Amino acid sequence: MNYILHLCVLIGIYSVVCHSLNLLVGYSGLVTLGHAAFFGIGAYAAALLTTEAGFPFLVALLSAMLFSALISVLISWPSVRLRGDYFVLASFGFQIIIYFLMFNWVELTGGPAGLSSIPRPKLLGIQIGSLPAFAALSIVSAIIASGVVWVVTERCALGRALKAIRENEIAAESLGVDVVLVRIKVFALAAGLAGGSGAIFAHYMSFIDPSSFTVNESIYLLSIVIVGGLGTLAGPFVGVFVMILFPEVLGFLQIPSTVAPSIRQMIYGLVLVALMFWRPQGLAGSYRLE
Amino acid sequence: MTDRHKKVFLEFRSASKAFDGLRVFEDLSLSLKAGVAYGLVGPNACGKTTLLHSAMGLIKLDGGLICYKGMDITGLKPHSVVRLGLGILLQNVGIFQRISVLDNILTGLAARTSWLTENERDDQFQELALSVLSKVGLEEYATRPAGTLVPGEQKRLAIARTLFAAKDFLFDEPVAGIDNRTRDSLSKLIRQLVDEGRSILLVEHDLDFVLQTCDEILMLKDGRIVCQGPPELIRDEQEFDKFYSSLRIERPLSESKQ
Amino acid sequence: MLVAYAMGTLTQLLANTISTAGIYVLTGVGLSMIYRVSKVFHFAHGAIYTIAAYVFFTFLIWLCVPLLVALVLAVAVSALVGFGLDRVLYQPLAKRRVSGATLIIASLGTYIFVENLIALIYGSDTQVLLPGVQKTLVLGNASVTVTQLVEIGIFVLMVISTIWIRSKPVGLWLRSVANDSTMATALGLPVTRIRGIAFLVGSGLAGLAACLASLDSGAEPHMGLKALFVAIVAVFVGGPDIFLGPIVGGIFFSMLQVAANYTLSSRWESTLAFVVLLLFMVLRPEGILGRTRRIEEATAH
Repeated sequence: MNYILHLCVLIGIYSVVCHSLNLLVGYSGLVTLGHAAFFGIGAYAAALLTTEAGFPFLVALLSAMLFSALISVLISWPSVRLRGDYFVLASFGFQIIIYFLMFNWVELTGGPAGLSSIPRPKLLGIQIGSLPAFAALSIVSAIIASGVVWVVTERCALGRALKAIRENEIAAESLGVDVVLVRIKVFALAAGLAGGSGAIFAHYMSFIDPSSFTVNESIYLLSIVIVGGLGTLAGPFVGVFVMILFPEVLGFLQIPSTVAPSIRQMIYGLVLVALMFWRPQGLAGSYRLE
Repeated sequence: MTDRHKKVFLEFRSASKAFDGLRVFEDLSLSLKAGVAYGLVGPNACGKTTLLHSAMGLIKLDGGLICYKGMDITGLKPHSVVRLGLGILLQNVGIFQRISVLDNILTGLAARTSWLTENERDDQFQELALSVLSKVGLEEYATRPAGTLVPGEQKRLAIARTLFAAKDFLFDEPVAGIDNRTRDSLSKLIRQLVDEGRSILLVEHDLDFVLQTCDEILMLKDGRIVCQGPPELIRDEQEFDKFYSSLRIERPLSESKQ
Repeated sequence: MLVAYAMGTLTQLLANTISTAGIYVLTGVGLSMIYRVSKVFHFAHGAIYTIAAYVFFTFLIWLCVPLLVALVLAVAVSALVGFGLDRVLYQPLAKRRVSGATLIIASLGTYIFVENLIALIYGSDTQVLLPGVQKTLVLGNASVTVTQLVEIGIFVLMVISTIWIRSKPVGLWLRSVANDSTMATALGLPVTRIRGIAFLVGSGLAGLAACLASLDSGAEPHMGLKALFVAIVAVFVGGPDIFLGPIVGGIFFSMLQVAANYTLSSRWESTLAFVVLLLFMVLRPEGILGRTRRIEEATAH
């Protein structure tokens, strides 16, 4: 039962990150290999605020989100003007640089040893220490995140602008849509959400190190979003379910644990390729990458 | 001719543009008055579309200045130019297929406001959008996805979209490949806009349309304006006559090309 | 005395720069040929790199094949795999009119698959190909390993042959297709065959680079990604010319890297690659050798 709750927590956390990534890839057509970096920035920022500065969790969470969003502006402002390939590259480069900082800025991040003894969060007076409580927090945040994505993409001028840009960028620009600014805003929102999720992740694991925020992790997140489906609300949920529960299936088949990660990744690789052939918009998606 | 205000609509001063060494035009200067429908004609690939695109900021000039209603718009990005009031109807229709017809129009809202979140259910904007739709005869399709419209209707939607977004207009080959009925209603629409005091510059290969619709015609050839004048006078210009006759012969080919 | 010391250090730095540049130029030119001709962002180039090194390792260590034979075999395998990948993956996808992003993802998926397959078969530890410390030669006050000498030789060979090929028909073909493939078809160039050549030779070059690098530092499953980083930087920083771009980019980058190693520490390598890349993207997207592009090219998707 505990294990199922643990899975729930992970599903919730990853749902938030993947919803935010879907905003970028599925709604804005920006393929990025740097999303794990924002997840990590949020995690480290929040963890440092609660451990070093003793701030309450809510403050740390919101600050981490804001910080993540601000950093995103630094990278998005120069790179959203670039052509597709260049943007992927820039995001790739950003990911590598952030990982490098996490790994080598030992005074701040603890380097490869990471940060430990991250306290259990206390939210609105309630101490969230037990597994069911965390599962609740995580699921609630996933619901909130998907709600935010829904409002932004369906009820908001930003959403209409995104859909227009997705269809025909030049036409949208010629009608007065400031494409660059729209993208920067979406990026900031996505980074903020990912950062928030990272904050929750850090306080759940109570220990973080750079190995959770590598390029491979970014690729993994991208896979989830693509497999699950681009440009819909259901997509990230489907993706997270499939990708998180899939290793459990492997475990059930009693594949030795030394070999399981490699086999899992191999299957991800194959699935990605197969999807590009037969269903590029993903399982529950409605948008093919342009 | 009714009394035209001495105001200037669009001005190019010493504009130069070359693509990879191929000089399109150099030191080209042009001044267009407000409240007039101009038709820009000329042989293929002589820079007509380049002029339009550079005015909108879709292409950057190598040198020179562009002014819209006295404001320097050289180097401004397209969305800034639109927000100042100058809009373009691009040659590839570019309507947003998966968005509803009404929402296609409302995208032009971006040109009128600058809020991150504006209440798009706002009645005032809805009414305005619907009135623009009725100008092109598409009101009953308001909630349908734009992709379900036939090409002629899509073109009208594109026109409506541009109308909603700006006050003065550049049209890039507006009648290319459309049916005669739409063509005539477009001609009427342009006259209507001019009567409202708007300024229009259109680029076209269909010379009959240009002669029928525009107040003044300019011919661009080899990077220069070789002749300019109202329809009744321009037919007498030798350059124009030569060009017109050559097109008459070519016309069957160019029509099937669409 | 000081001058001699400085000269010695300079020679050492020079030797280091040119030998590392050799590997970068090889992989870079390989990637450049493939990317510029097919317009696919070929992440799987890293997979080919890793495959080559491990095939080399298998032949050399497990099957005890003589070094040169193993090398030739490994290069041949990488050329064929690269060629095959294009035929089996990219071209069929392109026929379905998918976007560039879809091709990138497919390429990424392939890379993930291969990297993990290799980790599965060979394990994640570094495999050493040349046990023991290599012989070094002393030139002036610098010491250079045999492999480094070979790399320097390869570098010189690469630069000469690329500049030579550039003006020959094959080189012109590649440059034409890279510049404008529709135009090239209209001019009657055998575009499919040219694309095949690009993948074949490009992958083969990467394979050669991988084998040389593995002699120096062994083979491990992530080596392809690291090599890809640098190849990417070399290609994009150097400029749009299919041949000269990666040469200039490779030299520039290895100079930076040796300088960084000398003043900072070697852990900065990958990061440096990308800081440089990002700076160029923002400040000079056309690369070292490029001319400023049209605004629509730079912003179009």
